[in-house]
Amino acid sequence: MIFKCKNCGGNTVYSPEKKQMHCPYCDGAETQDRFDFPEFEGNYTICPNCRGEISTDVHTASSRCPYCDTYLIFNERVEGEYLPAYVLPFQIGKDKCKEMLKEQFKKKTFAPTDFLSEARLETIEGDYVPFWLFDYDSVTDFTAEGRKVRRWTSGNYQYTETSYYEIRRNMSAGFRKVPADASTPMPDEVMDLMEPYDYTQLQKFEPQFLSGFMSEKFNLPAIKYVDRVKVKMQESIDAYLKGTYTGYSSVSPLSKTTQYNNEQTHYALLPVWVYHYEYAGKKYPFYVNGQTGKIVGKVPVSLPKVLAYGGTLWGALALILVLLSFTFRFM
Amino acid sequence: MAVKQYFKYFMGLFIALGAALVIFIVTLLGRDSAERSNHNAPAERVYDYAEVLSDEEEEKLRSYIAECEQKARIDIIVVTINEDVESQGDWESVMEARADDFYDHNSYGFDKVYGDGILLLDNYFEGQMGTVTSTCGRVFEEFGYYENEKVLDAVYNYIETDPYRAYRAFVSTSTNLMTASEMSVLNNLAPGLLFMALICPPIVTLIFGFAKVRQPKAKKTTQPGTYLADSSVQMNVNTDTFLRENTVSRRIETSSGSSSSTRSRSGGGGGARRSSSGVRHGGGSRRR
Repeated sequence: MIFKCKNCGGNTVYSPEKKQMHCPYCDGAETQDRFDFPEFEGNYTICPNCRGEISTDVHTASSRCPYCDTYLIFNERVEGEYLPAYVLPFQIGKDKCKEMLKEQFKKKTFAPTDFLSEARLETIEGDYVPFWLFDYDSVTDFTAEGRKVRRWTSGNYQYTETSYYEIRRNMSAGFRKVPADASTPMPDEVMDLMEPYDYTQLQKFEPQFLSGFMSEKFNLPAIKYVDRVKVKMQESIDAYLKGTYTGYSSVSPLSKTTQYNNEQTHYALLPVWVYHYEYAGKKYPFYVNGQTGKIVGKVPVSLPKVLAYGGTLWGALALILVLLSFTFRFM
Repeated sequence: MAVKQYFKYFMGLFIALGAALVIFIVTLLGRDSAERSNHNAPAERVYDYAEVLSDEEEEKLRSYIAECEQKARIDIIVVTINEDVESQGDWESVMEARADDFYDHNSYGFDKVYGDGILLLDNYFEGQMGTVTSTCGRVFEEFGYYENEKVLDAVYNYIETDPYRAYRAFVSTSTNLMTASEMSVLNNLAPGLLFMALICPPIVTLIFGFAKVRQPKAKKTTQPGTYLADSSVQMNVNTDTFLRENTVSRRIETSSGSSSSTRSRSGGGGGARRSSSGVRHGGGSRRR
């Protein structure tokens, strides 16, 4: 499907700033009409607007026509078994995202000159990443040996008293909407760093939210992500448990078992801005949480800049000190 | 764009470089034009009240002093007397007081009143012959026991046979000691800076490069309770049971016989004193 403006026929998109559908051509608000089109012909689709050929991935749920910039949403990948329960609409627009990147990296002196150029930053794409959100109730049994050590001196002797304790805990905890990204191309460690998202802004899925953005359907079923989510929950449980046995000099865990019950999963699309920067044949992707603005990415270092700036600093400092030394000699 | 960014970034450094260059040029141009800044003192430098110098010797001494004063940037004064000073008190104290007061009452000092300078007072009174020096300002700071003795040695080599030569030796020795001490400070300072010019820039550049290249890793921003449902955490069992206890003891080894000693530095030297006008003077004395 595509969303066209009733007034001018332009492609209407979701505006994070206005929090509604917007026509960038005639500035109309909520003027969209949905048009469906025959979607796939093998690995590509034909743009209903310009008839351009668009290659797609098997997981692509929405894409942009590279010829006419129309955003296409593929019905069969957002309906039926692929219908997301929730979507968290972008809260940060493209312009604000660009400003945030500029602010974050403006002091990176050795970044290539065009790293924050307008032309490069214009290539930023908004991406709805598929996530599985898991609910679980957990019960953890934990036993450990705790030691308290006390030292004192009497006469010519130093005494060390060690007291041993059995620590027993049984803790119940309910987890809600623990996320795991269901996109293979998105690096798991980066998506973990994007967290947390504020779920109070989750909305029931409507395909119009995808207009203006790229998106994927989930790549693998929820069952494939259970282990990853359990690791996250266990870290949380461990941190809570640790807070319950303070005052010991050392603690050695003896046993720990956690049972997870009442599993429920929800399929959701969460917003991420992606800036693909390439320098000296190497890719440097940057990810910005489309809701909170948290940025993850490593800035490339320009070797010519390092040499120019380092050389200037070295040379100028040396020259200043040499001039001073001769000045003192001639005083 | 890149060039503009580069110049903007190093503007402060380039300004500092320009300032160092200007200071260097100004110093180079003004190195020989050090003028005295005290105009309250009389032009006279030789007061031969004891009449031991001929007019010609006095004139030659004056011009020699003028030449040396410019080199060392200090006032140099020679005073001869023929007076009974012991009737007023101890020879050394009275001579030193007379020398200091003569310097102060005439407002000597190359840089300011009571500033940098040295005065020699020589008494020819029968049975009370001897020389004292009065140093002030920079000369007072630089001249310790060794320098004062060296000046008096120079005078005593000739004073019995040729007073003019003795006073000339006083002037030259004082000048040499002052310029040598000045040069040694500058010569020590300048190679130090040259050494720093070789060592500091690479270190600063390395620190700068490291600080700019280093990128802190993104941190996890989730908390242990981020995904926990409200009030869902319940501690069903929470017991800490005492099991046992053991105590070990260890004898503390002590070391004895330690002692400490302090060494106090005894200072001698300078022989600093205050004149009747409250100015700090130094110098030495020797009786013939």
